[in-house]
Amino acid sequence: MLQIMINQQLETVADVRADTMLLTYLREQMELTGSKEGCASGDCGACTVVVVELDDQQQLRYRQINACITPLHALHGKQVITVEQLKDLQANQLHPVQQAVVDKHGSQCGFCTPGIIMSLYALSKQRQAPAHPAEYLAGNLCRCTGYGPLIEAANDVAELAGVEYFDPAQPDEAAVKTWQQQCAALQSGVYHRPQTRSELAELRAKYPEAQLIAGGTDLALEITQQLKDIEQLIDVSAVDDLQGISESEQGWRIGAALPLDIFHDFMREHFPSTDELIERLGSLTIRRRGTLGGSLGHASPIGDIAPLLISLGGNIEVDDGKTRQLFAPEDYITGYRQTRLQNKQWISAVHLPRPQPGTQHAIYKVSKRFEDDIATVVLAVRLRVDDAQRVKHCIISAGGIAAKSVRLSELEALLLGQPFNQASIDKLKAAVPLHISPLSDVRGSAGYRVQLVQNLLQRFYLESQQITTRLTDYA
Amino acid sequence: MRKLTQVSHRKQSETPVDYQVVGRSHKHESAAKQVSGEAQFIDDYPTPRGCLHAAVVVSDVVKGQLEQVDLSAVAAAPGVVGAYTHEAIPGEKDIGPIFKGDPLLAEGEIKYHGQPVALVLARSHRQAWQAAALAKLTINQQHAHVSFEDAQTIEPVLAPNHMGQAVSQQQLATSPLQVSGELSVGGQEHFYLEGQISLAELTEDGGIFLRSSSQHPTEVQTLVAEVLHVPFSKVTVDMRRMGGGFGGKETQAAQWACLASLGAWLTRKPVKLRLPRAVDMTATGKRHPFVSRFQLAADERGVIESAKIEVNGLCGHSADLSGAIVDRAMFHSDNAYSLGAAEVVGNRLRTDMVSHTAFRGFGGPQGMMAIERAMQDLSIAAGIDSLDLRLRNLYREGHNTTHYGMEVEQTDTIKTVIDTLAESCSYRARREQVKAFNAANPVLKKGLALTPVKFGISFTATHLNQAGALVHVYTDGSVQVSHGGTEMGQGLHTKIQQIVAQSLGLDFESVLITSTRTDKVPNTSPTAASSGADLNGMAAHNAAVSIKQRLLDFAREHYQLSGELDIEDGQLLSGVSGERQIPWETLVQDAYMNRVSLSASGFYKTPKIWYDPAKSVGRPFFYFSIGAACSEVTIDTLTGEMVVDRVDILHDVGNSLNPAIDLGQIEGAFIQGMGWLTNEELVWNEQGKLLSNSPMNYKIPTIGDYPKAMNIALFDKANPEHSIYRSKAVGEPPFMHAISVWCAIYDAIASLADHQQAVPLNAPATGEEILRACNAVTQARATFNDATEVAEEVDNA
Repeated sequence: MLQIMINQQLETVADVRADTMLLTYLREQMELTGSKEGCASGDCGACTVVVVELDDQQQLRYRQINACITPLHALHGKQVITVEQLKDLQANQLHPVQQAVVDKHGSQCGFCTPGIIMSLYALSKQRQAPAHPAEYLAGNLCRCTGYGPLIEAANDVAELAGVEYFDPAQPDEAAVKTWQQQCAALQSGVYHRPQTRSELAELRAKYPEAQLIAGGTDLALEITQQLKDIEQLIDVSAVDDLQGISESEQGWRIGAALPLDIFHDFMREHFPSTDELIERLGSLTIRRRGTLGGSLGHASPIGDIAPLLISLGGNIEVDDGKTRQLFAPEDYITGYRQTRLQNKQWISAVHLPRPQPGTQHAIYKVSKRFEDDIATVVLAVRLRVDDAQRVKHCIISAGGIAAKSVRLSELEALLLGQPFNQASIDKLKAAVPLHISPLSDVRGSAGYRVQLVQNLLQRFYLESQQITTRLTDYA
Repeated sequence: MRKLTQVSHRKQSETPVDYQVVGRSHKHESAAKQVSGEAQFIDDYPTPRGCLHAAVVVSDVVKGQLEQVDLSAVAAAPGVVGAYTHEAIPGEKDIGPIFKGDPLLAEGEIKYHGQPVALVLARSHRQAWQAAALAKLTINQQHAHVSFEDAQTIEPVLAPNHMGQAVSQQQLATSPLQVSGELSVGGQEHFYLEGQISLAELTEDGGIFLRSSSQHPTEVQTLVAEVLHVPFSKVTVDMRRMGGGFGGKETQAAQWACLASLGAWLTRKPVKLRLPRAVDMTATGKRHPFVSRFQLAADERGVIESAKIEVNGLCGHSADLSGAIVDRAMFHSDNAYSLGAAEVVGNRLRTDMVSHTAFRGFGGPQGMMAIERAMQDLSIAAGIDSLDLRLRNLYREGHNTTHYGMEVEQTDTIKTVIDTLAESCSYRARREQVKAFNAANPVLKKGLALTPVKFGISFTATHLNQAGALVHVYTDGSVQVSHGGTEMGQGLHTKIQQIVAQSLGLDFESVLITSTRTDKVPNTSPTAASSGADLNGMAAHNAAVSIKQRLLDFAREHYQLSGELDIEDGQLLSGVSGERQIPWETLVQDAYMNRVSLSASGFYKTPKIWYDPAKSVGRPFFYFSIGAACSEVTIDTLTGEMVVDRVDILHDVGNSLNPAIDLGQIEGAFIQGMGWLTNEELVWNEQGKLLSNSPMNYKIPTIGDYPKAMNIALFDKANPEHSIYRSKAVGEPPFMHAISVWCAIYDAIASLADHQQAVPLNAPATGEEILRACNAVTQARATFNDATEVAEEVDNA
């Protein structure tokens, strides 16, 4: 049985297809038309709602998500708060978050506004104010205001974060929590949400045609953009084996279903050189749902995660419920959206070794737009020099330059054993056109991509010489 | 780490308030409803009983002959009620707004990728679009003309237009300085957040009641009537609000409105047609891409003596509004500069693409880009700072006649705005800082540019400069207003509410603006050309003034009053110091009991304007909107990445009707313009298929693209023309302030060659384009240096 708390109302839903999205249900079945469809692909944020769920510490956490690409079933046992819930209708009083936007003249046409309000509502419910409140609006496009008033509103709303106040939109948190703790597991003939590794293996065997889904930020587009019908889904996001991060002497094992925003927190602490890349992986709204396993599962040639893992010497753990296998990412991905994943397998985790002292690492992403854009080129370099300033160890990986993310071994070979200086970099740059042959597409021409790879290698060297090369460094 | 930006400083210099209601920063009339989700868009209304959902079968081929349309699989798909081709259209099959050439559904010829071929009706939106994908079209493909070069080889959509006097090459050659160049400026997807949508219902009179997200309800009404072959009187269009328009719903809403109406007509059931985003992006027209060529000839100081400019609009498959759009590009190819002897040619080229259409600025931005690129080139040729060059060439006394014979009257204001901004943004000091930064950093380069905007206000099709309004006063004193303008977020209804309240002497809350309906105010012009408040505001004011005058006449007689009479703050005041006060509600009630009409329509037509298209001379504009912007950017010469560091804008809105709304228009227009000139790149493949067809691959600015520092100020000065409360139009002009960003990028690239080489930069200045221009300038510099060395060696020898 599918149970969702929508605003303050407990909904028991029967006979809903596995591929029904939350937004469709809200607008067409619940007559809650405040949330809008702007793109149905998670790019514009007009559909943003807030999901309230229990975290590891059994506390309620508030996260903004795109209702247009979130399957309804994925919200079983959770509360969804929509824009309709915020205003106190009896007192005719706007919520403080709404008032902040009105006060700053933050709405013009008003179509993006409900989504903006809900992203800001999520911001107001954080336990502490983030350093950059506007990040909460990175997944909300507005074509009218130019964002100035919304940045001001976000700064005002951030002051509510971590402050105890009566929230008219959520009058009884305790009741919500109790219900969530007591809610029975989802029972559905079309949407399966296993809790354990063995359950997942059984379901894989029982429904060989079923697609795996975690956050669904990519898979949902097949449903909403290509209009495909998907009858059976297996949602891996609740499988305990795919959760959390465990630490060992060698490094870390990171559950494949861990949402990317939480992965980001971990990486920021242990691999600060990856911070910017992950911040630019979709928007915060997308990272709330997207997962490592999802990104690797569909093996997009421009996915940012694979080049990142290659450069960090990471491995991908694949499981079938009996045997776990480890693959280097460059071996795991075999071609355009092709991987070694067998029918009954799934990605269970990613392993990252501890960074070695004395190693330099950088990963660069160039895209048309800085935020929430797919890369034209991603280039990562990890390098260690010996006492004589000769390159002792080197990994160069890239995305956006071939049918799959690649490790550029030929370039690495040119650098190994060479002095780490401009002359070696010049030789390396000269060799780039011989070893890569990217395509021209909507994100950039082949020639641009070749020059980017050359110049990003140059950037890596300049940065090692403490020369400012980044627009972001001094921002 | 780049930080998501905070607003460091936003100046809000409010105009002095002479009025109680007008001139104040009232909140948008719908703000509270928008933030609560109560504001309804067409897709939010409860679906009428029995409503069907429509989809369109579109062509996946760019150009060809339609041999066969097989809809059998469509008709058999689940939920489908009907599928129709052009044969089902009872009346007119061509919905071209001015010129013919826009088939409602393809007949024989396929003219562009995404062209609608058939209409599908089904029980649900998803079923309709799933079924539409099952259609089998047999199309005999033909070569599509897509590029500028290709377009020059075929018949244009309209004949070329000429302005000014013929300028010969000999004449140009007599001046000491000459620059020439070619500039490609890309188009732009509107990306209104609410896609195209219409909901049509049959009326008992055999007509249609239609909700359409349209900037031009009257045109939708007339086209629907023609398609169905019924009198205009039987079609009513209702439009409460659009989720953004920007020009993209001026003519482009009609097709979907006509198709929904056709569906309702054929099935006798309500029909809703809503375009999915990718269909919307593929099948509707965009801002015109332009390729422009310029030749400027100047004296040693860089003062322009003669100019030859050719603007080429790539119009797509049909004329649509392209005639007026290319005209406006021509009208603005001077921007704020006296060009001396000038010849401007405008070509309306045909391409086998979706028909490009209105977009904020309506060709003006493309025209201005040509001259601003030329000014950057000329400043390098003259060896002076680009601001100095611009100042020398501004329209000024004795040099204030445009190439279409109109005198620029506010030349002093143009100069004052620029001087004030240059001072307030510390242009000169920052020029030195930029030089120092560039000398110190081998990779990052800064650029700075200050550019003016002079934008003509009025529809250049003179007859469109008319408007109507209807004001009702009810017997409790409450006031309802309908007018011909549409609300798309720009705050038009808020401004009209203020105007009517002010003109009646009431407070803001006493007035309610209702949806725009063709049965309340007929024969309206589109809400476009920044004219919404100018035209409809004056019409509403005229209606309010007639009612007020009736009430004052009545009061004088009925209450036996003499001397001064006025209504202020909801009170009738009589006597010099208002000794006697009668509440508005009492006045209205008494007037009603004495049979005084409490309803009036108002009409307005813009004075002074005229234009002779045969001679290309006249006064096409009532007045000019004026402003200036200064932008500072930093580029990464390794990757072409760019950030906008600081923007300062000073803009003249006359007496602001609502400073908060005007500032919002300026800021929003600027960011939209910045998107157009930087990241927003329309990409078509060689066959003419749009590759950038979704927000996944077409990137409008996000919150992180907001400049790190942004200062916007309103220039406080009454409009010398008698406009509504002496305000100036604001919708489009600030869009062109974004040209300062593009010029700053140019300036940053030019620093790679010490401002010795013109920069072959096009728009949009994406990372790839910036890097390409960096490469070109560096190579030109190297060649120049080699040549100099050779010359020196020769000299030494």
